[in-house]
Amino acid sequence: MSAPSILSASVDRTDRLVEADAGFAAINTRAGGRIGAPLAVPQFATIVRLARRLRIIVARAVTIADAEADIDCWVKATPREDGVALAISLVRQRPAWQAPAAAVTLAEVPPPPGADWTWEVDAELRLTRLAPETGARAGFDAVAMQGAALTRLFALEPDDEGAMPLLEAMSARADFDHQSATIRATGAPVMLAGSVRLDAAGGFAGFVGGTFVADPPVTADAPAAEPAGLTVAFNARLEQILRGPLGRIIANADSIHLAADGALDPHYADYAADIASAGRHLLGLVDDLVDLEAIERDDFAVEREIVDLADIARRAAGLLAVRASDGQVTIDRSDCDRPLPALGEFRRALQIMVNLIGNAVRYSPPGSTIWLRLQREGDRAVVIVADQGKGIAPADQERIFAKFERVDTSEPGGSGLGLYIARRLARAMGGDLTVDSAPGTGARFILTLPAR
Amino acid sequence: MSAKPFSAGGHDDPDTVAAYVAAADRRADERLATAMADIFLPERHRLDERTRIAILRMTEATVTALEREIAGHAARLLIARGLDEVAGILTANRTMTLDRLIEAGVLRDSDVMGEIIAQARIDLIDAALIANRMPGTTAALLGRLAESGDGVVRTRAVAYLVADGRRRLPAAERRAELPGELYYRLAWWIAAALRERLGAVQADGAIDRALVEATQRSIAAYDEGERVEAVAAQLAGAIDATPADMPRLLLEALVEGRAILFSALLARALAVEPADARALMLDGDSDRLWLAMRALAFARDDMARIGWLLCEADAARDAERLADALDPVAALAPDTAALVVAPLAMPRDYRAALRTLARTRVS
Repeated sequence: MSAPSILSASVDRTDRLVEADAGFAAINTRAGGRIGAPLAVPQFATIVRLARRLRIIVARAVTIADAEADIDCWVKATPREDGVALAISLVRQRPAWQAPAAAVTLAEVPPPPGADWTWEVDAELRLTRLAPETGARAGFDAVAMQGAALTRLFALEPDDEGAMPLLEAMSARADFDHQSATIRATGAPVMLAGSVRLDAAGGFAGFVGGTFVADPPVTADAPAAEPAGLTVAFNARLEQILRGPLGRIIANADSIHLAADGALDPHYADYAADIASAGRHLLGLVDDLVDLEAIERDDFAVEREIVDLADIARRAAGLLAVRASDGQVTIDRSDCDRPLPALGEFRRALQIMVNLIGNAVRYSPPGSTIWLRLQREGDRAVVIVADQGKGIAPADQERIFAKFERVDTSEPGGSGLGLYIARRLARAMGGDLTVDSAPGTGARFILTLPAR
Repeated sequence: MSAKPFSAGGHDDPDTVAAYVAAADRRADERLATAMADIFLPERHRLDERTRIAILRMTEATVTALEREIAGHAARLLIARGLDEVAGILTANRTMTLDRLIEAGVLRDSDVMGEIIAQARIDLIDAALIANRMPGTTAALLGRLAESGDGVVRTRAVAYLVADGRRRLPAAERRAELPGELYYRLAWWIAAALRERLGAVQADGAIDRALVEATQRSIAAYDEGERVEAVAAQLAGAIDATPADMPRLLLEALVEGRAILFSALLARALAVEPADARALMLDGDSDRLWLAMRALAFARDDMARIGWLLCEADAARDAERLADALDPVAALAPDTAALVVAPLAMPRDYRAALRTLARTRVS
């Protein structure tokens, strides 16, 4: 853009344009205005009126639409005896379809992932947030550092090429990582990273930073870690960090896909469907990981209640009916009419059955049938899920129950946790999950639970 | 919440079907009533989506954090007594009580929710104040106070910075800092909801004892004096600004995105309780804040500058309305304007009692 970066104009006491420099006149004229008429750009007209009425200097960031471009600018209106003077700093011009950088200020800026502890600085690199307990851990007086310059806490060090990533990021208004530093109070080497925070006009407003301890301090009397506590915390965080955002991503992508807010280019609708499906896949993985953490804990327990395995098998088949018919696979559940009472936890047994039938659907050729067979063998209640897929070689039959292993490694998707979790759950309920199969004859997964 | 999937346990049972249909009817009625209540909400009382989400997230984070604390300690106590199975339920990793507290209506407590709503709104206002700052403007107030030659001011300023830092956490970790009484109330609600979740598990009162002990432990550890509002009041006391300095201090506090310090300074100057000054600051629906400033003999320009920053940062305020109010308010003598804060000099409980009686009066 050839226009100068500051435009100016003035209006009279009735907010009509009296004079304007060439840049301002150009924008105003394109919007349909002229000298002697009210300002044509509504955002300018509003701020001029407010300055006149409040009788103080008012300023705000505005984005104006100018032909094909959106212009982010900072508008300052100064009231005078004979009207209002307007000064506009152009911050940047961008194609109309790009989101303004200022949106960053409204969203939360997350700290760099995985940091040992985090901090925040403002535009002058003064610490605006530093939790006192981090000081205790890292060996400095965090309280004394409140409001202090970042460089009082850290001595920044240039990298091998003499560059300082933090300072470069500051002038580029960008995120940074791999800034070497030492904590002044202890001399401990650390790595710093930071996410940039921008102000309304897109200028640098600070960093949300993270400190990565290079060599974790080892103390002789360090207390032993609490695995259970950690796991609980990890689990709770996994839920919070991943489930919520993923849920929102999926819900939003779905509503875009359904064009809930109006008509939409089919390409975007398809992208949205892809996003939703990838999101669901990730959510499934999160569920698996949460389960994995739970079942690997020493104190993991399942409820023992009376459940009807036939009812569970029928429900699981119902849940997968759509996927089965998409794959032209028939699920034969004629055996599910007679109740088969067993001892176990309803939710967990259903989870196992969904996993088994889901696998069977995935590996079944079109036109084939999956059989659900229920029987009582002595004190055991047994459900068999049999498919007509390519089967599983005896050598692989133990492997597929191991963590992160898959029935067919050439097949995309799946976390490789499903069968591992399913078997652990079955055993936790006093039962078991086994397979018998030979290549070419399909697979039979056998879930047994204590009968009731 | 959607209806439970239909189940008759595999039996052919007409009563189950009838009951299911009746329940579905009830839910449809409730849905319609909720939709109508939503549609006919007066527009100016509606929360905007950002505020709504901020409030919900803070409520969730607050309940979840306290629940984890109580459930976690109760689980440790139960394990020590050999009740591993019950402890396992308590340490399962999902929020167990929030939905129940909402459904039961206990979270509609206007003290608790009033506090969470105010704190969530202040978080948004602070974020907007910082985002709206004119490029090149420096925020120097707290930095200056933290390096003050006066040791008391310095200590209080640092304490405030520490406390204020707790508010600027990611949403999932940002809990409301409730006054002690409300914190205790919430803690017992959560304990009761946890007890309910454990249902009919019998353990000779061991579960109740564990939950009570864990809740009492959380309550004992809570220090309401550490809340940022309390610390801000102490800082305002330490600064002890002269009337002449007050407009500039208030303005600087806003420029720096420290609305809590703003209301603490205002409370000190008006000699009212911090919560009352905060209510004035958050009341975008009336001109009480400008009247209160006029009671402090603020000039028109000072009110306009402070008002402009607040209007820009708070979705509930409107700069045009401020412009309408400025001249009439500035024309008042400070003593006349002081009538607006006179009732606030009465004890809070007395005023609450008066309001309660007034509500029950036959109209």
